[in-house]
Amino acid sequence: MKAFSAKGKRVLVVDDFEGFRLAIARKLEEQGNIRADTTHSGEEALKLCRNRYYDAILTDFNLGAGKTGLQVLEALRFHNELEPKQVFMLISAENNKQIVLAATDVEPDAYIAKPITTHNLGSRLARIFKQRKELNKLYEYLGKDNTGAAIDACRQHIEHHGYYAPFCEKVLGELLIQLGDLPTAKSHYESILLQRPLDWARLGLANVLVELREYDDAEENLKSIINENPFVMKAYDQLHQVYDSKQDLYCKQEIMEKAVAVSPLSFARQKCLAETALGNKNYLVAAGAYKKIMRLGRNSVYHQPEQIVDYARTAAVLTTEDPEAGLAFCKDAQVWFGQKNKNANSSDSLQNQMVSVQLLSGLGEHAKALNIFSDVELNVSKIGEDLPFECEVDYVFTLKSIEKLESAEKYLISLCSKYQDEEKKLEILDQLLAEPVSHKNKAIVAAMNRRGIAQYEQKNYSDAATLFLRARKLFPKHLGINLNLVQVLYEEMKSHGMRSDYMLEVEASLNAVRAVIQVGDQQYQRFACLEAEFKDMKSKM
Amino acid sequence: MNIEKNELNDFSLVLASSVHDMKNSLGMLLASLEDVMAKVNSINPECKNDFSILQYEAARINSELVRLLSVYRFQNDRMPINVDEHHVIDLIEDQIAKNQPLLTSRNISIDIDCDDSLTAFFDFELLGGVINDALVNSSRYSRERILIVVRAVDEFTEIAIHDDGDGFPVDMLGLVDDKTGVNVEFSERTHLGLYLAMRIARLHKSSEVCGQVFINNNSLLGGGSFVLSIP
Repeated sequence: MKAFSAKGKRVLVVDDFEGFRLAIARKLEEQGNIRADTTHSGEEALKLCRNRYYDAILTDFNLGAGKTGLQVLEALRFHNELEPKQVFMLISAENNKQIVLAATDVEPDAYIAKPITTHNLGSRLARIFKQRKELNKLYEYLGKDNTGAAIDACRQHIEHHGYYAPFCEKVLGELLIQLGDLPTAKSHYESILLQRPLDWARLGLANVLVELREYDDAEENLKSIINENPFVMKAYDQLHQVYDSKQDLYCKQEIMEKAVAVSPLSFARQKCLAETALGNKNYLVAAGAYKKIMRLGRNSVYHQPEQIVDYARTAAVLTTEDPEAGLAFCKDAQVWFGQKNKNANSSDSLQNQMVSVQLLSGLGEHAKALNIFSDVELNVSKIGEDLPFECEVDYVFTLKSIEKLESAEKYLISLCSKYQDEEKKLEILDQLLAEPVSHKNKAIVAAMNRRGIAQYEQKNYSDAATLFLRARKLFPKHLGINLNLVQVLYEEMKSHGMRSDYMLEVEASLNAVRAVIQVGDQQYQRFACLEAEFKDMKSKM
Repeated sequence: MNIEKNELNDFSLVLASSVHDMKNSLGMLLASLEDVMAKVNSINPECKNDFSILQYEAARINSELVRLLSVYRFQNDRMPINVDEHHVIDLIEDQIAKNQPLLTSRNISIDIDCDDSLTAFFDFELLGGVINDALVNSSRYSRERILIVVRAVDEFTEIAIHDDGDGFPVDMLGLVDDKTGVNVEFSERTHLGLYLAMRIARLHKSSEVCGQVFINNNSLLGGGSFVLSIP
């Protein structure tokens, strides 16, 4: 076996098992001439990395309490504390690298499966240091964000059939996208794919297609990657982006639900799911994702106290739809909310008071809720016009939570008129509205309506009903959506027989319309006919 | 249906987590063994044989654990593969380095005949597991030498591990088809290592062809040969 030497290099060995990390460090020093520091925890590792430059950081995935090895990497990347030429090596007991990496969303430079021997670790380190040395220029340009020069360095290495050409091919594609040279990036990936359908090249091509706004092609490519290999997590992330661009809210949520099932430890994906589900007014899914975020967030750099507020609010709203599930989430959220206020000593802030009211209502502690609400009301009137927008929104949620529905509606209408020219704020207010006021959400509902009508015209009544039901979930009092839903459900029942669950949906839609429609409205005649038909159908049941 | 799927998920996680715990312990055991060997060998060379048995058995436990988890994943369609272009020499050197203490303790010398610049398309960790298994097996049956020969043959890359032992038993050779290589069904009598090598080889595909595994007794060193062939 060749001796390995990496004279002058400094590495950090992170493992919670003292015997193991000391043995590794000692042998690296003895056999590889490497200066090795050691530490037992992720938090300590981060401190050491801030104080000293390490050529390589070797960390076990499981570091006992505190951050995992991958969360150390997540923090280093997040704070931009890792230069491209520094090596982050993850050691794990799992032999299948993709299973470990799929669970999260950061990727180490090297991966090594246990059990490891010093020979094994030494030869791997030697190989990586050799690669860093030979591609020295490339790493230097990457470190300085000099994309053009880095592209040239990659091309040169590939043209000279360098040892690291396969690696350079991969980097080149990413750099071309970064530079915005999409046609060249596209042909680069296509030429790789002619040789072999490698996942990274398929992902790269899909990424280019997204950038070129060729969403249908991108969607097709990404779906086929996931179909063949459900562990390619970046494909889910990109597909989410595609659905976001296509404003397909349902698929957007569905793909993130699939992603978190494969990648349960990814904070970023759980957060994405929570926000997407909230946008869809699917509070059950959102609360579930927030619950996971709370646990993952303990050691994550992405954790923010606002997420606890979002969780509490979501859990409280859920109790109005699904009291049993909502109550369980409220109990959990209360623990986090209490901790947050204790830590930050911010329990007296207005928004916290409002969310407390919502949470207490969700927990059924109405007297306590009303007690705090009197302070809220006082503060709101004291601040008056200067109330920040997020507090205004929370005030509506708060009023609704204590069933002051009329006041909530009135206040909401005043907000819609106050912010009539501020699209982003209107989009947020849409969360609370039965019919959208923002251009974006109006367009989304119109598109959903169109898709439903297209299915109806092709006599695919069941598919049309699914689409209208999704749209109604978003905006429950939308006149057109409700009437269309009633009509397709009638057609479906005429073709395939009566169904009591459909009749309940019809009744809910007719009730929603009845609450808002006026006799002189354009749609009134249609509503009256559909209602008459309902009575007729019901009498025959 | 959903309940069954969840139970499957749960069991997969429990199994993986137990295997990981055992592998962590094994890692500590191997590292301590390496330490003790270094200290004791200089004083008492007679212990060497005992240590080599310990090394081999620990390596075998590791292989068995990995096999157990792999079979479970194959049976439940949860064996992801990540194919990329790698240098074959890196794969071979990694696995030799991993088994160096075992090889040293058994006094087995190992030679590699592989073009350093040769690349192939494979999952580095999965194929590493197959080579590791084959090496541990060869180290058990070799007398003193192992030779690894890597060749590009038509559209395949062939990795052959030759030993100078007594060769494979006849019943195992009966599992090999001249064209399609090792062909075994999963059963209680299956040679698990061979079965998994075949399954992992077959995950490696290019157009219409997939990877294969052969075993024979035409070793360049007079013993048995294990040949892994990937497109």
